[in-house]
Amino acid sequence: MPSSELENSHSVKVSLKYKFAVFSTLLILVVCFVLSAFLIEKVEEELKRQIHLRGMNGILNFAQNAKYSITTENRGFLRAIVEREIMKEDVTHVVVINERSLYIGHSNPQLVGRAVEDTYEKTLLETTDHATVSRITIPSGETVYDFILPVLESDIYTEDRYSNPTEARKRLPERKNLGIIRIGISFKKMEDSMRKTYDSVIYISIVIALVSIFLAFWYGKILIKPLTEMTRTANRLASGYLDERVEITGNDEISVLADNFNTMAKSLQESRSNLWKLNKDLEYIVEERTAEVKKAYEELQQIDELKSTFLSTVSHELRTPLTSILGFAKMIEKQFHRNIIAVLPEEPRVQKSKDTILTNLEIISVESNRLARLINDVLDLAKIESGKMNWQKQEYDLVELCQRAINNVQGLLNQSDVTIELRSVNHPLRLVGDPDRILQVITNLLSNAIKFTKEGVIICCVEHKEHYIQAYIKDPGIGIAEEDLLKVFDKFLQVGDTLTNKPKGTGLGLSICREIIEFHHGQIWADSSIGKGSTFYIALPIDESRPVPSSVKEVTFRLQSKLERMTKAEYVILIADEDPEVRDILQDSLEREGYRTIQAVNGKDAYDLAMEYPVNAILLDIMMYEIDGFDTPHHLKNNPKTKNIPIILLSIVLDNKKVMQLGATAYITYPMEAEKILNRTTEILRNESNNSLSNTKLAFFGFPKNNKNYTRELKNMGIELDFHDTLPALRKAIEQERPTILFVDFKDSKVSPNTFFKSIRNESQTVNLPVVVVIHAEPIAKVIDAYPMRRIFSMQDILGAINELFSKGKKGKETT
Amino acid sequence: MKRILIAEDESHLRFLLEQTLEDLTDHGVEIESVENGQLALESIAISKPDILFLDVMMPLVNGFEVCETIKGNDATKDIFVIMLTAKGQEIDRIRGESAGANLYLTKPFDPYEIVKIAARHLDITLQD
Repeated sequence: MPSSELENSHSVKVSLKYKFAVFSTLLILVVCFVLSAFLIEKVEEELKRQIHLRGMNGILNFAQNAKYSITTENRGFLRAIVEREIMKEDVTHVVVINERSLYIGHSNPQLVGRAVEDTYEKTLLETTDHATVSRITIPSGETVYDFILPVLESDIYTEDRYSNPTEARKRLPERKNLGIIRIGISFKKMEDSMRKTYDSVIYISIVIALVSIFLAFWYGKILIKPLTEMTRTANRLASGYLDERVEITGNDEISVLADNFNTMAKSLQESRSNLWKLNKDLEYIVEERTAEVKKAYEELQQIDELKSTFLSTVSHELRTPLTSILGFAKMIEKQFHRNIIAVLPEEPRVQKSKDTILTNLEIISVESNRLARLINDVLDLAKIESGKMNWQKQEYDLVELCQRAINNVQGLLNQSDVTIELRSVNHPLRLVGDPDRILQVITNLLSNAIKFTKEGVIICCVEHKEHYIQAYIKDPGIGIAEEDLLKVFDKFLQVGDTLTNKPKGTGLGLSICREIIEFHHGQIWADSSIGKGSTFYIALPIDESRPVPSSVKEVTFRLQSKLERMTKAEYVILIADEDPEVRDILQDSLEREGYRTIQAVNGKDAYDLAMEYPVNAILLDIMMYEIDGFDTPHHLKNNPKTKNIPIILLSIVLDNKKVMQLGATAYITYPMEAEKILNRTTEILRNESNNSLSNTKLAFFGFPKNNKNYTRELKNMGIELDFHDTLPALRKAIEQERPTILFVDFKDSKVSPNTFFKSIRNESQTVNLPVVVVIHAEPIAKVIDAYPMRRIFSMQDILGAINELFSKGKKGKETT
Repeated sequence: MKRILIAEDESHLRFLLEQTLEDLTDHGVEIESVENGQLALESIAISKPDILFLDVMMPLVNGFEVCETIKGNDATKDIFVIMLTAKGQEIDRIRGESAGANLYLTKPFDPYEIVKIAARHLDITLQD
């Protein structure tokens, strides 16, 4: 193991040793600095005190001796005391000046008796009224302390002046300088020794600091050493050298830590070795088990292979005798019919025996056929399960397959009151897979449905879902108990009371169906309730790479149980129509039926409301799309939130009032009759200037051309008739033929009333053209159930459609 | 003289086919049956049949081989070969078709169907 790498990853960035040393050094430096500063400060203070004391004592003593001599100008005495003073080692100069600015005593005898010329001394005489001291530099370059004391008049008389100057000044406010005494004292010696002391302090500090730093580093190293050792060992341990130990003796915390560390390392080593051992054991066990499993798998594969071979061999072997049985039964029947029956005596016993023989032969045929089917099923299942099925892969149309499956089972229907209805879109639903097998599934489901249904309609429905195509076969038969719903796809199982009512079948059909559908990445499931019928669903993916998720089953179940729980009052129906009257009529009718309603004023509004509220169905006026261009059904179907809401497309409810509002001249009630047309025509012509019937040209829009009971009658009267289906054709005809009156029926027309009148009334040529609209006895409500398309023509039918939509869920048979 | 040859090793089935096709003898059809592929080829060499009912699994020479031999010979390739097999597998059907069989029937077969096919091929109208 490359230990350096690991050491790098756990390397010490800043050693503890340096941290300790730096900290200690800083601490020591600070201590030394503070101590030196304190010491120097103290010594300096003492020095100043000493200087003051010495200087003041000297000058006061001198003044005591000299003060009388100043007034008396006893120069001899002064000279004596000056000399005595100057004799002192540290005194540099002594000056005595009287009030007339004359030197009356001076350490330089030559100056005695001379007037003061020095400006500094002159000002002193005038300004100084108390003892002062200042540092000056004398001509020899030496720095001395210059003590100055004025000799006041009061001093002469007051003995206590120097002992208590402030008090004395108070008592004698009037002052008069009688003279000035000036003594210079050198503190050179003192200052020199002072400086020496400073230097010593600094040197000692530096030495202490250096020694301390060295000691700090040295001790730090000693202190850190065991930790370094432990770090190294830990790194080695981390690198995998588990026998590594720390060698530290002592009795401090670190040695305890080291001991614990060693214990931990030891137990780690033990765990590691145990783990390794266990791992080895486990590897061995896994290898052993893998081998066993592999062996078992191979055995199973062999057994499976054997089973498949066995099944297919047995099936083959069964076919040959079966061929004989079936064939000879038919032959016997033929011979019997052809040659025997004719010559049989009329005896009842013989006739009865003949009937029995024929019945028995029939039974042999039927049972042989059943056995043949069973063999086919077993072979199919064996082939699919062993992966030996030869699957085709080609494009096919599931709708067409359903139609073919229905044709295949027509033979089964002849004996019963059962019919099959195919519900699907009108265009092909193309899928890729094995069409023969899918056909087999649908045929199987259909024949099952027929088998369990005595009477009624079996619905075969194909729907296009989002990523898959779903087909279901719904029968009104005996139904399946809920606990059996999942079992029906198991092999050799027919649910229900098989002892009393055993239908024909092999019990393998649904297993094969499941295998086939699952091979196509689809789903197959059933939903049923006892006594109410069953629905079998298959869902096949449109794109094979996107298999149908098994959750589609749950979705179906969930939807149904939800619908079952709901009562009508919980269904919310969105009414989207621009006409408030239509909305109100629809709302009224629906609420009377127990539904809740929401109204939307236009397509966009409808879409927004459907997004916001839990709507169960939408009644949508198709014309709104034409008017505002918002493709509401498209938007609703493309939004995951609303795509599952059923939409019922309404066209318009046309009544006479509405027709007139739109711009019609008159209306005529359905059905069309020659007399009614004539009446309307004469009525209109009466208001016009030319009222000759013979010149009249009538144009018809939206009527079928053939089968007119009224056309011949009108033609016989010399009236020209002109039929059109499209707006452009009509417009052209109006331009060329100039019809007198235009009759319009919107019921089957592709043009909406709004569009029609907009087009007619906005053109100068046709603005005044009389237009008669056909009103149907019932209000025309062209309702198109979008999925699948259907037309409904009355309010009753709207309600019917909605009730049907929701009663589906209630009965639990079908999904929306 | 029209001729039908049956090659089938199972005596019962041979018997059944003979009986089934018996009605055609009234229309001047001769029916002969053999019990293996070898005999079938020998019989064909002597007298060429119009229709050959050929079992797939037979001793000596199997049905596929018989069919290939017949269809590979210009003199015999126009014989209408109906293969009969217990094998329903696609692969057998494909093999039979590639061997040149005109029809491939899976057992159990309906006797009436057999007669109808034969009659249609031989241009014979049967009463019932």
